[in-house]
Amino acid sequence: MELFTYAFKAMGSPCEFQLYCRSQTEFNECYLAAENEVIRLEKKYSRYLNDSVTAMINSVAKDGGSIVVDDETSGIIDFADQCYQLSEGLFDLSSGYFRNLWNFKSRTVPSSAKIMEALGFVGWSKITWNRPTLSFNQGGMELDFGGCVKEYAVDAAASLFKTMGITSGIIDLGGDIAAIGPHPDGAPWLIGIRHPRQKDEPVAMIPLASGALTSSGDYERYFIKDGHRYCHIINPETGMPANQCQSVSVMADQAIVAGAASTIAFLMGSNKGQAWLKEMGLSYLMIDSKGNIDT
Amino acid sequence: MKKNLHPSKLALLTASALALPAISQHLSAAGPTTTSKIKVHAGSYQEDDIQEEKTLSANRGRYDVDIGQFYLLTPMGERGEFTLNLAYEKMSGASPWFTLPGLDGEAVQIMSGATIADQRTDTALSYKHFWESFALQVNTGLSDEDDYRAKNLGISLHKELNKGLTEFALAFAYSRDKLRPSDSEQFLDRVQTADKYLQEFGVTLTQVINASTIVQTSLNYERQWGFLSDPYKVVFVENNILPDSRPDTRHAVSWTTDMRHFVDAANAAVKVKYRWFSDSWGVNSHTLDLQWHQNLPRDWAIIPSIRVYSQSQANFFDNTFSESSTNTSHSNDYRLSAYGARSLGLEVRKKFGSYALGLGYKKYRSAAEYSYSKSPTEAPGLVDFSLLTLKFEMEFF
Repeated sequence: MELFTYAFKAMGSPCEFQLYCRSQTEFNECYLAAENEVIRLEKKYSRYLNDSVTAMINSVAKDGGSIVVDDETSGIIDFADQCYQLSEGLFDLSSGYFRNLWNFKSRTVPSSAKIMEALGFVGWSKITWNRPTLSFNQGGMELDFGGCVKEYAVDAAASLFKTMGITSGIIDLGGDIAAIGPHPDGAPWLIGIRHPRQKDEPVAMIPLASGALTSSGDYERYFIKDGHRYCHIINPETGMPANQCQSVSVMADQAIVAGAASTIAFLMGSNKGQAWLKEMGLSYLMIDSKGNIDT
Repeated sequence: MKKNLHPSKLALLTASALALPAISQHLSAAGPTTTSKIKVHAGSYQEDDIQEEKTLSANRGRYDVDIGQFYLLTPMGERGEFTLNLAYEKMSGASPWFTLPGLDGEAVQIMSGATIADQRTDTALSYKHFWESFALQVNTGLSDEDDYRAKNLGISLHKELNKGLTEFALAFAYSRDKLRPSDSEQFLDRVQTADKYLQEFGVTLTQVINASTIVQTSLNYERQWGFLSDPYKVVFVENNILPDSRPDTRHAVSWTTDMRHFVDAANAAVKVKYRWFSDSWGVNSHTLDLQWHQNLPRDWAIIPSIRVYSQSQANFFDNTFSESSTNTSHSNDYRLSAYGARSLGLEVRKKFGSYALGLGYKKYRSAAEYSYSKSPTEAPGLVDFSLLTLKFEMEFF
């Protein structure tokens, strides 16, 4: 068995597969199948491609009305719907609208009036989900699957590798990570948790033999204005970026579960977020706004 | 990172994640185990002494068995898994021989005189091969004692349906047992060698109801033929001693249903199993098993269990026979009498990473009055026993 590595770019992030395979041919077969799967999901849920499922849903969301969605999309919506319930409304697919409010290129803080207006177009409760029919009870809304599709792609790749007979490997899609069994000698993979303020300095090394590890941090997309850091994770209740944590990393069996949990805990803030993760029974590493680490 | 044991909401979320097609379609394809497991169990089985008023034998001691078991499950090739089961048992003691009418009219048990010492080794191998949505398993086994040798062969086909939430299995098994009873030169009417055979067919349906509930139901038919009597047992008919004699065929049907459910609120798993059995000798039985697997902090678990059993007697069973009441078949084997049994068990387990240790104790009591049969004739040989088991288990890549 030999360790093969393949790096590529997808979903706007650097991605990498590291797999132990018997031969280069076996590895090529595996990484091509998984890369195709990642690209399939990227295209299907892209906000920028006109023929994507996201674009079709949002064309209905703009004017209000109903759309019947496919099985896979229904599955993702079911999952997101459950996250919405479990997070008391903090995990919300309709937060997609906020990209019209917070522009990380122009680095401007929107006015209170603008925020109030935006909140009128956000809220899962304004949408009726009756699988497979999604009904927007008002117009002007927008869904964003960005909060779970990359993690879902990690799980899809992991599942694909397992069926192809891989028992040892790691998948990294822009920092969302899953391990398919440890190294052949039984040693776990060591995953560096990025320091939120020093890019190349890991703050901790987490051993991962199987399952997934994902992080939500205020360092991914942000701007600083008047000494305040505004990051891309927006609270759907206030319309303001969450600011009580620098990063939250969560381990779970599936990346999509870990990803949703880290986002929810990040939005809840340090105290409530930790209590929630504990109640969920998930392992985590949280760095609060002052840089204190809690596990 | 901390681990906490409260998976209720997590179980819900995981279930919806696992329902996603790109995760489930690959997962649902049946696959062999990816890890290896080893289990080593050491047990001590001890039958209680027979009660004084139920025997005329001076020595009231019964069977003791020391038990050693080894189990290995490991991946084999890319699409297969291999299982090995080894068991070793060392038996000693006395067992019920025949019954006599006692002075007060109640039957009394005569125990085998000499202490029996025997050992049994049991080897079973199986290989299961997985294709996209079905699997084929073949298994074979050999059981060897001084006076007994059994060989068996089985095959089963497993088909997954409904994205892996349903499994349908068909099984066939065949076994051939060879008996060479010891001391047959001393006991002239004891058979010297004999054979018996078994064929078994089964269908099983397993259904995953949701992330925390799984139900399995199976229907089995078995046919035994050949020498089905117990070569060591005799019946006392007036002044004659006749060998235990049972019909040379036996047909049996059984239906088993079990359910496992994870109780989120208690962080515990409950298992309920019911079995109904009926054979052509007139034995009908009901078995109910209940087990509660309570997870505790720091990887401890405590597992109480209870089993309730009841059977009716075989048509040709009695404690005593007269010339007129015996015909070609007759037996006073307590295992063919009407009786019921209750057993209580408790196991304590502790996990240390990929290792686990367990200590279990089980107490079994049987009596005619525990049977649901009306006015059963109590066999004096009914047994009570205790079983102490030490378990070591490990899992590795």
